[in-house]
Amino acid sequence: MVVKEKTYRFVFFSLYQWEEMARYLEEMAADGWLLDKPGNTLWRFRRVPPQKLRFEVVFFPDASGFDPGPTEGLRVMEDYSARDGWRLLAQWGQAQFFVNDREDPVPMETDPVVQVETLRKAMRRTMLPAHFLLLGVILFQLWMELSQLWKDPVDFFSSSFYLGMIPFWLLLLAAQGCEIGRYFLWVRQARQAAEDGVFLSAGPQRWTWLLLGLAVLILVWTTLGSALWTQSLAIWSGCYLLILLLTTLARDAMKRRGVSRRVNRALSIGLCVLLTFGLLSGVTALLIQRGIGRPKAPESYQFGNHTFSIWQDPIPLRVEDLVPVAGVRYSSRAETEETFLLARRKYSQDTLLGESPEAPELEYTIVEVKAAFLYNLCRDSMVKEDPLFERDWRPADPAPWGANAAYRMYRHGEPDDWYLLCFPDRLAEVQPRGLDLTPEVMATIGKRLKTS
Amino acid sequence: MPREKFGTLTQQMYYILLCLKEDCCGIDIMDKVAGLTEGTVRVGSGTLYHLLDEFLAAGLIRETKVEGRRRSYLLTPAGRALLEAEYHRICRQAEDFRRVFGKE
Repeated sequence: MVVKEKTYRFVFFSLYQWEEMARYLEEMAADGWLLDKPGNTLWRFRRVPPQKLRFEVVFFPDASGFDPGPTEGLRVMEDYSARDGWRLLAQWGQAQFFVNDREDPVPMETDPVVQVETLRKAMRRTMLPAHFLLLGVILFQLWMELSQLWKDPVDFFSSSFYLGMIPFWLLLLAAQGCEIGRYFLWVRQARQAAEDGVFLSAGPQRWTWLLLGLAVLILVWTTLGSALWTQSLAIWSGCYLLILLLTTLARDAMKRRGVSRRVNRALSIGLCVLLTFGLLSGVTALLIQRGIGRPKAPESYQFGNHTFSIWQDPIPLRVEDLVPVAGVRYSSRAETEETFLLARRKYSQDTLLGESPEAPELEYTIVEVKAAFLYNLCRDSMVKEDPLFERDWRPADPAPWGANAAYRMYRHGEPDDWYLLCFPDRLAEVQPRGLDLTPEVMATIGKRLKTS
Repeated sequence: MPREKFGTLTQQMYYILLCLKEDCCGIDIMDKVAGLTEGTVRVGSGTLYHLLDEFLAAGLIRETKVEGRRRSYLLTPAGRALLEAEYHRICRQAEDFRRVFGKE
């Protein structure tokens, strides 16, 4: 039987959970695993005989994860510590892990006032700015999502991805708020306790991790709703892990070669930015080129130097239902996005490029409003004026369509063959091109869009 | 309410400064404090390092000798004044005790 010499553990500690980290390391040592390399969430342990060891996590504000080795100051602290039997085991940025095999050694931290203030200094230098930066990114993402709701509520409420992303970002916001709030609460309590000579541990961080776990579950659940989003999530997660791995490997390689902190940090950040932009543009181009996650058309045709798809999706209203057409080849496309609040079904029936230029074509969108309270919001957003393209909707006679209300599009003040029909539970936009809109044709269109 | 920095001294701060009346190497301070207090006050290596760093930055002590990583320190007049202020504060507390209980 092969005995494992190394093992990895996912750990979820905040930097200021010094007591929890030390107790965890003691338990691992009792099980025969000694800390080898700590990290943000993945810690490496090496096998040792099970033993009772004492650990302390001491903070060194001047240290950095980019240091090629212990700094001069840390070496001095190591000298002091050796006197009481403590030896430096590992470093994780500003957190220094010391171990001692003596039964009852003098603790490294004997003054809680000094310990709290040192920890605050360490947090202020790296972790807190990082937490606030992340908070800013989350707020920006939320603002982006909500601005989409403001701009196009139909698009927003019919997309399970947009809908899912709101609770996802809100949960991340809550987790981040929880983490930052908990830290400041701990500082306040720890400073008071220090006045009484008491070291206060931070306690478990269950809420933060529970909220993060929920956010991940929602992200997975949301993306599973669509093949495109599932594949995108898998690809982007892979890219993120690749960037993380390559940046970490590069940073560690530079540390081993004794590259200075400043150079290592600059090169690591540069590499991270390069990889992010390189992968972002490369993968996006590949996704578009290969059409990953998108359905494949059953046929295609050439026009000029380009290949175009011929779709044969079933659509509820065809040109042939309105006027007789013969010998015209069409591509019929149906695309649906649906949530429990709204369904948006887009249909089009187009002639092939270069063929039958005079033949009529159809394009229409049916918005089924499942939640009645969204009806007016959706209608108002659909008839909103578009000053950029000088387009506006003006009321039209709904009777020929059999609708409750109707609007017609005007471009540059001229009427266009583009209508919005309002039915009790749905809104339908229709663009008949090259069709003579007789009362019979309008009635057929209205009837079909009302019931499909 | 957290204390003002060095407004009042903790036991560890007090004894470290006290030991630096005479030129002393950082690592020897731990032994000196233990000796001075008959082992009742123990200064941990992490606490000692951070406090020496803070005292130095605040001008309460100064470096007298650097031999590799071995550094020696000495109390400055500012450090001495702070120590005296702390001594008077402790004395006042002792006097208050005597006044309340009416004896030595």
